[in-house]
Amino acid sequence: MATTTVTLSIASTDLTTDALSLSNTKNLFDAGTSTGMSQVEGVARKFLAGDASYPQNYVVGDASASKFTANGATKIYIKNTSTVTSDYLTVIVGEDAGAGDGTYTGQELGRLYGGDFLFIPWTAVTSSTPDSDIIVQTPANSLNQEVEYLIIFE
Amino acid sequence: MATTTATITLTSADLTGDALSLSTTATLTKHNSDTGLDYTTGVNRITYGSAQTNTKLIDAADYSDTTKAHKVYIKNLSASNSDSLTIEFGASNTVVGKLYGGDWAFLPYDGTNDIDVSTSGALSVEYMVIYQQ
Repeated sequence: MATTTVTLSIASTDLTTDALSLSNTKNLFDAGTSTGMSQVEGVARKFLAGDASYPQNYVVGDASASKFTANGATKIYIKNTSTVTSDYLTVIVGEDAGAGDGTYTGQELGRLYGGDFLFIPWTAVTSSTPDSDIIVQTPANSLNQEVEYLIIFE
Repeated sequence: MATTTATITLTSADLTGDALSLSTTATLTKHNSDTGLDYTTGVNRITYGSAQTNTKLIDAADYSDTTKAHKVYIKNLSASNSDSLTIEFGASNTVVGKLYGGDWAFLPYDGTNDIDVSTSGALSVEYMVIYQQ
């Protein structure tokens, strides 16, 4: 078992008149236990080729991979490495339709603009339709982008 | 305009043979802009006295939608590692994942769909939305 620690700090002195200073630290455990999570994919950096006509879907977390489990405590970190705040990647939970035009079945969570990151739990489900793959989608433009990601699982 | 930062730090000396030491800070800005997000719900805490199923935590009707850069923070405040809180998106309650006791999530939110939660039992949850009009 490994010891992996993750900390989130959110701070602002002027978002409201009450300064915001929130910090949380947590060791990452297997589901329902105090056993440290022991498997990892990444930290990886992936090239995402843009397409002028269509959004493009890239699977970051493949729910059908046997190493992931639906009942685990998997965590995913994703960062849009761009330094341009107008560049964005859309994060989706679902399944790429395979048409090459950005269509999918599932649910959009939100956009990671340049420099933004997320850290979420992930339930890798393939027993229902659609699969719960984690997809990052480039918009319909010819801009090539990069994404950095890390998956920690049990 | 406000300046709000979010920093994540991930460390492990023994997860692999290459020690993990990752830290990144994002300044939370409006979509397609260098202007900071300027609204927040504040840090909210809710206690559920019993197990919940598809209970609305964040109402999309409260936020402008689509091309937005809202951010959401959710934490399962339970001290028990076996207590879980499932994060779900949209009318079909698409499951994103489970937060066990002490776990938290930080994610972008486009304001299009409600965020619901289901819990394994009685527990408290903390959440905050930082958003734009």
